[in-house]
Formats: sequence, C-alpha cells, structure tokens
Amino acid sequence: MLSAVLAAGALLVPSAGAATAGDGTNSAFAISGKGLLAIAPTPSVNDKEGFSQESLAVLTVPGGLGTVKALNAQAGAGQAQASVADVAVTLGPGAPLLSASAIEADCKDGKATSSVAKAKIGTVPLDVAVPPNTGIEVPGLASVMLNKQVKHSDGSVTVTAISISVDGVQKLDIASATCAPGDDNGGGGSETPSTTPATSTSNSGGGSGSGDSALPNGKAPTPKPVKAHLDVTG
Amino acid sequence: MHKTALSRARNLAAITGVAILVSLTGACSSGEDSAAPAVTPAAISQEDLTQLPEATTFATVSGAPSDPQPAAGATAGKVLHPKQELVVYASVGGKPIAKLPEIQMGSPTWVPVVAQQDDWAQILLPTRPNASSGWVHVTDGAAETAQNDYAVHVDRASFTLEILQAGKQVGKWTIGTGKEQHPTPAGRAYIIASIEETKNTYSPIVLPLSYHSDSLETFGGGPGTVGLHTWPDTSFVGKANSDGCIRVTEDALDQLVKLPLGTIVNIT
Repeated sequence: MLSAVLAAGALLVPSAGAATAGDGTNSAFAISGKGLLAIAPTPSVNDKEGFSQESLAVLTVPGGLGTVKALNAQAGAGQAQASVADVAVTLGPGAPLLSASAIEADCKDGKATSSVAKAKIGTVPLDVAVPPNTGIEVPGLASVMLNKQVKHSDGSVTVTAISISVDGVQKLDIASATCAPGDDNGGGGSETPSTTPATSTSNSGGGSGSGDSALPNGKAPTPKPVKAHLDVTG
Repeated sequence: MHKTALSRARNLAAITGVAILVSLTGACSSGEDSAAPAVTPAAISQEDLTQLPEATTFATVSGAPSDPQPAAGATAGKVLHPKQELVVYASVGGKPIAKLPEIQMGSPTWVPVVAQQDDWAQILLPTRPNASSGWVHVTDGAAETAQNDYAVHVDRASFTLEILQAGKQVGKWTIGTGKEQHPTPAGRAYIIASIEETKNTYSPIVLPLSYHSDSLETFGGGPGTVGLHTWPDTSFVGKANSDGCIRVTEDALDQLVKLPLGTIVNIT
C-alpha cells in the first residue's frame, strides 16, 4: 500500500489556498518526508469532497528506518486533525531516533494545538505541550520545531506537531493539520496564536438546525446529511 | 519547563470537562452529609489524553466493556451528544480507554445511552471491536441528551428491516445482506452519521453503523464499517450478496434517513 502511495509520487503540501470551506483548505496529513527519504503525505485528506477521514495501521519508512502506527488524518468544515502512535523512526544514517507513543495536531476554527506523549529524539525528551513554534536543540539535527504554527494570508493556520530538518535538505513533518478561521470567532483572526483553546463550554453548533441539540420537546433531532465520503462495506 | 508543560496539560484536561471540574466537585461534596459520595473520575494528564484513541469508526479500543445487554433487541431510549470531547472510561471511576469527539464523519456525535449511574452514562462506542461500550462522566454542559423513540430491527434470516416507533412497527421492507464470506455482523449496532456521499454513487445517502465487518479489516479506503444504503438496481432484494452492508430500497432509505443519529439497529 505504501509503495502505491509513494508511486503516486507528488509531494503535496497542504496549500495555503483560497479561503472558503470545502475548497480543500481544511486538510491534514499524518506524516510527510521530503529529501532523499521521500514520504508522500500519508494519509492525506482535505475537505474538497466534504468531511474526509483516512487511517493506516502501519507505515514502514523506506530504507528500514522505522515504523509509524495508527496514522490518522481527518478534515471537514473548519476543522482538521492528524495523529500517529508508536513512532520509532531513525532520522537518517547516523542520525538520532525519534520515538513517541503518540503525536497529534488539532486545528479548529483557526485555533491550533498539538501535543506529544512519551516522545524523545535521541536522548532529548520532548515536552507534552509547548507554545507555538518552540525550537529545540538536538545534536545531529539541523533543526527541530515543536508545535510549528504558520498563519496563512487567507487566515487559515497550519499546525505541525513535530517538524524536523535533518540537514537542511531532508525534512520530516509528523501530524499536521490546517484549518480555516471560524465563521464566528469574535475577533475575526487574532494575531497571536493561542496555546490553549477557549474555555467556553458552549460550542458553536448553530443550534438545532445542525442536529446537535435535542428538539424543544426533548426528542432527538432528525439528522441533516453532511457531505462526506466513507467507503462502507458495499 | 517540564512543569510549565504539565500545568498547561492540566488546563487542557480541564477543557475536556473532566479532571479539574470533577476534583472541585469532590472537594465541595466532602462538606456535605450525603451518604454515598458520587464517584468522580481520576485526574487525567494531557499526556494520557494524547495517547487515548479517538472513538470513531476508524479506531480500535482495547479494554472497553461489552454492550451490557447485546440481546436487548431494537430498543428506543436516550441518546447523548458530547458538546466537547469527553473521556471514555472502562467503568464508573475506572480507567480511561478512549476520547469521544464531538463529530463522527462530519455529523454531530450521538451515541445511545444503555445504562446510567449518578452523573455517569454508559454509551455504545462506534469503534472496533463490535459491541464496545464505555462510561462517560457527564457534568453540566458537557453533553446534550435527548429522547429517541425510534429503533430498527434487521432480521437476516427473513431479509427484513422494520422501523419501530415506541415499540410499534411503522414500516417494514425486504432488504439485502452480506454474502456468506462477508456476513452482516449480528448485534446491537446504531447509526453513527448521515453522509451525503460525494464519491461513491450507489446511494445518495449512506448511514454508517457502529459495527464493522468481521471478515474485512478494511474495505475500499474505509475501516470495514457496515452501512445502511440503497443500491442502483433491485438485484439485492431478498438476497445475501453484499460485502456486509445492509442494502435497502429507496423507499426504505427515505424513511431511515429521518431517524435520529444514535438510533439502535438491532441485527439478528
């Protein structure tokens, strides 16, 4: 399966394209590599055809450099998410080992977060959650950025949980999610990336019209079909 | 530095409506005389949260208790929608096993409630293995609940599907089911989402169920989710020739799409 993915070839990066939801802005991938070790974004989804989610049980990194498990990517209106588990990848010949029990990136209505669990690069342990764009020094690597957040001109934001440059040429991104700004986030695009999501308990659901609340008489609502794609068992 | 990350983690955990809220409640109730103090979930760190699988049709959850009444039949009842991501526990006050997101395939998450104890609700999960359940601690504002009067009964032997409203049959159709090598699994499944399918053309709306094929780990690009949907011709009617899905006539689908998410689809 991986070979098919790799053969498909093109190293796509989530675009900072146009603004409206449903144009592919909301997007995510679990892992991507550029350089000699090329890994097409896998799995890679966007919201062009509605809500999309894909998973892959195991990805074997070419060259016997390791494995990543439980790869997951999902994207839909105003939100995107990517995660991986049980990561053990050697970052190239003579380079340190990246290991983690879980890595995830989450983006919702323009607000981005990421976290890692039991993560280490070589002997350097990684904090569970760090402020956006926290660079860390790791011997043998050109750069390591945790919770990398890039705000695009259309107001969308891309969060990548771990972004590694091995030597300036070889790059590896793990758990990356891009989402459009929310329709109703009050400030219409705050300048400062938030490190914690808002504490409001009432999420923007749009009331009973979106089928996420009981009807006034307490009965369960009739669902509104949502544009999406899922291969069920025919 | 590590401490900073941890305290941030606790903040995040609080947002999920679990740890901090609950420990506050515990502190308050200690001053009261009430007999049995309510069981509250143990605090959970962001690191633990990150490691929990997200309860969707793509996930496999280990350590989940089974549906306590898998043979209860096509039962109507309460459904629950998390208004924020909820931690799912193996038992009341037990070990965290998953996190339940607000949406499933783009639709708002609604899960059947099959048991209750104080502020805890036992829910059916949309994950593998089939018939997985778990407990969520529902504090004020963490979830929406509603009464669902509907249920669906599928009898594979007679190739029939019935819609029940308050236990009374309001529709019955002849359907198609999975072929011998890819049987439609039996059990108390439920409707997890309402999908206006954008790629597959065999059915305008697909209703994925919480159950998965036992014989297909994956199917197409999906995780082997069993679905309810129609088919372009009538070759399926009264036959076991699908890859596990329940194929229904357009007339039946027109009624099934009106059922609330979380509606039990009992398959025997």
